[in-house]
Amino acid sequence: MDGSALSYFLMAWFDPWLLGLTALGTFAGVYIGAIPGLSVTMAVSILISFTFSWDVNEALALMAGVFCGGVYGGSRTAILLNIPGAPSAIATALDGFPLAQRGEAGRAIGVSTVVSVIGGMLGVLALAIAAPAISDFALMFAPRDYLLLAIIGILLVGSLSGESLAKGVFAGALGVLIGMVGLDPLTAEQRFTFGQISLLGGIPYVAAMIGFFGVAEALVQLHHLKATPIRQQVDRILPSWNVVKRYIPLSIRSSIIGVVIGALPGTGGDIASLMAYDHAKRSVKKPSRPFGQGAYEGLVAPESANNAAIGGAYIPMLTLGLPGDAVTAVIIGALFIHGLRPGPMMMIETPHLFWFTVGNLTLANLFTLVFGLTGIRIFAKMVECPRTVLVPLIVVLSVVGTYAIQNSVVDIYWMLAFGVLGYFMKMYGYQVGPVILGVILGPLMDVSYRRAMLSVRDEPSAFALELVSHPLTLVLTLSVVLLLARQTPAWTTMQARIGRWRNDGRTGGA
Amino acid sequence: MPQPRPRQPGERMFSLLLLALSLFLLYQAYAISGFASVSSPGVFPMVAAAVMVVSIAAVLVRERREAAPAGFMRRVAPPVLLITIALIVALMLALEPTGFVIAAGTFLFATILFLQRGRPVRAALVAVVAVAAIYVIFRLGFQVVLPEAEWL
Amino acid sequence: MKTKLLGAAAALAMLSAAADGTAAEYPARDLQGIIMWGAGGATDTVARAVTPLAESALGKQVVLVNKPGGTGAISTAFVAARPSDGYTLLYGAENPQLHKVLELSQIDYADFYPVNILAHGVAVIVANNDMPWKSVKDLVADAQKRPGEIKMGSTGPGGLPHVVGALMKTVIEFPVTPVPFDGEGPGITALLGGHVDFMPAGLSAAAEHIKAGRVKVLAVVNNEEISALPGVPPITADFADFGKYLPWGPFYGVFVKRDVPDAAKDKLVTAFKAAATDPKFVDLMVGRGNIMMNIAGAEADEFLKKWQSTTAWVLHEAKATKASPEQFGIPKP
Repeated sequence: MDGSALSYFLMAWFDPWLLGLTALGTFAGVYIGAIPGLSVTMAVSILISFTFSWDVNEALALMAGVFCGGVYGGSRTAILLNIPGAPSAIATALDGFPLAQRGEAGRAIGVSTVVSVIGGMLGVLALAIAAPAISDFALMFAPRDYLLLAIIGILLVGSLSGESLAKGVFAGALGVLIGMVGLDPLTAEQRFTFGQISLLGGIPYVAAMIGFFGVAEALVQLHHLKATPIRQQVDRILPSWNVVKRYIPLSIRSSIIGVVIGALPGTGGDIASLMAYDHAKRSVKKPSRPFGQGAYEGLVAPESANNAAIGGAYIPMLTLGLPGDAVTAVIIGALFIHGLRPGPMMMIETPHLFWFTVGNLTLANLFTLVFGLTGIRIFAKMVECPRTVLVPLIVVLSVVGTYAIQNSVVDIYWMLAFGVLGYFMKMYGYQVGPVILGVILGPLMDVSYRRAMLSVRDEPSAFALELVSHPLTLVLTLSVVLLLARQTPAWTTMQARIGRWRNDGRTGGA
Repeated sequence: MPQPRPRQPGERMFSLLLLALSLFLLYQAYAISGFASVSSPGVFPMVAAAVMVVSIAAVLVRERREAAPAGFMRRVAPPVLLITIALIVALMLALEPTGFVIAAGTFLFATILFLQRGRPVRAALVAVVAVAAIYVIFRLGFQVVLPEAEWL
Repeated sequence: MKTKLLGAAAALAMLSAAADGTAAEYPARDLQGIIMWGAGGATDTVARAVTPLAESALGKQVVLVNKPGGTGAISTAFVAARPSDGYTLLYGAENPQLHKVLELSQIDYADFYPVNILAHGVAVIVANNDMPWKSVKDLVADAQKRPGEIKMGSTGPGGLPHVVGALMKTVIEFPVTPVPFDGEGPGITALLGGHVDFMPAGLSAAAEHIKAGRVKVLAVVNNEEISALPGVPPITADFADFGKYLPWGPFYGVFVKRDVPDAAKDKLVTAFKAAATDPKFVDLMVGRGNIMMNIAGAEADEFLKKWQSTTAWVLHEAKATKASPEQFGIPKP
């Protein structure tokens, strides 16, 4: 970093106005993220008009703050209410909510804040030192590679299924179909629209998320109206260094996943956090508790990854003018409006922008730490209020949140339908996690598969050849094969045999 | 590991309903583009619907011998659930004609009153505070145009 | 029942007429602006750039909402269902003009009044740097030599790359394999990565990549050279037959329902006319490779009709439509 880069980096640190805007953005972001239906994308879009007459640096400072705070904030409601405040916090709910049910919400929020900041900082670091290399790497991903990535993601169904794999697979496939509703983006063919104009745009997956998580959970709670609310321990929020130290390796690995998935145009923090959760589940041999029942590892991985994905998403944006996710797409629009020309020339024409953004994101992460560790008490109190009050409140918030996505009452009908379906599914031993997984990954798999097929003119043999003839694709193909193999009974028997053989060898027995 | 989930009444009926849904969706998926090509828009929906059919069939086969206890209305769909859902439906239907403030306020008041069997003052207080907070955050803060009655 | 409804509607109309009696006061409250594409898209950017400028002329806020889906059909249906009081604006691109022939919706811009057609874009043909071609002629010759082997970045039906691709296939024998992406941005991303070989794209999406030398430009899809790309030949230089379809390009506009009271229309037209002449907005649009239009009313209607006739028939001849334009009375160009 030369002198001018450093001065750009520190620009927002010493200008009290910019500093204040970053802080304000981060603070607002935490609450935007925490409220389901209020998304960072939406907030940043509104900020475009709002900051129209401002200086571009001021607008960017505010947006960076909202982005960092918002991605972090999604974890709040995921942990406390089992309603992910944002899609990137879905994986956080899987172990976060069980922790709140054990009265450990305070600690869970503390841990997720710290690892979010670690992930966020690693993302910024990747942006600062390796942006050009990572963006070139991201460009290498062909449609077939996106397909393979999505397959790796969907295999997570296996570990999200709960009591029955068949039920998990069913839920996942149902989610895929929900994701297919609407106008096919490649041919404009209508799928499952039944002639309804309101279905042309599909069912927003946030509506499905709020229905299956929020409303279904609220309905299940009706069975426990008389139960006394769980008292939350909120005295020890900041995790000790020893605790943090234990999670750092996992946090770093998850952050790498986050940066790469975030940098890929076409995937963002939601997929990154699910893949990181999957990674944690496969790689952590002895979690603090079994996954799905309140394992801190199940919190560390997605929260590191989704915050690292922020830095990742900025990489193609700043180096090539290509959005890494939905939020950076909006920020690119903002840059245009402020008279800048996002594209490969931006680093040359407006060199200050890069280091200014890096400095800003660093600052926003520090503010996330501050705001993340305060106000927990009030949040935690929220779950201590009696269920007779909490359940109706969740319902109203779900309704408003769903409506807010695109001001549509039809979306609310879907949300309720999914809520009721989700309730019965939960009663009969189906998990709702795989549904959302399917909704998120289904469309990506569909278009990537067909794009890959169209690229080889619909010849399956040529398609199969492509899967093994490019180095990057080959690595992904092998990963899929390996992951699949590990889920088959043959693999388990083989591992058991190898294990026995090793043990026998060690004890010297025959 | 958690306790094995106790079998719930009505499970087989639910599985059968899901099977019917899956078959219907499979037919709908087929209707999109049939087997026109390996990259046609109907391919993926068909695969997904077929997976649904197969997996729910597997669930049915596995559970065919297990007798479920009786008492669906008591254990799975008790009155409190049905009434709450009815209230939510009422909220949705009222949303556009009466506007958000009235619909949500009434819903909160009525539902809390119903769930806690009394204490109207607390119910009213929660309803007013919650609606006011949501209105300020969403309408004023985030310019989400909440449903508003045309005649108010 | 029906009479009752009619009666109620009449009463409502009278009520609103009474409210509008002081039409000079329009707008009396905040307006709502429906953007037919998602956040971060070109239409979104244009809408969010022009609105603050128009707001100062209107004296009220325009609350912007993205209602993407069905390439705009959701938004047109939504706005068409709103009261004709001038309080709901539609920010749209060219897509609805094709909704009838693609059987997506029966609503197009014939149902709306053009408050302002702000600008239109220009298409260019860009290719991956590793490709040997120097002109469109080279590309066409190569495509004819190895039919189907060259991959063209495209979009769903009606998108700019798709329409220009269809245009090329109408004019010349051009056997390439189109690979559709979700939009021009993702298509260019694939072009940069070498996953497609060339792509027709809007200049606004491609300009910066051309300037940086990351892709090479083969031609401008226009009758003549354009000032933003000096030295780049128009496509008519190699294939004169294109001439009759040009100039062609995507456009951005602001619309209200046809039957909005004239007083409100006039107020909106004045406000957006002022906004579209603001140097800040003009710089933004021209900088993105667009050509300013700033037309309203009858002039804009004329433009919309011509655009629809050209495009719908080209797509129809390329067999990319579901219904014949004839069915909807769209005249042949």
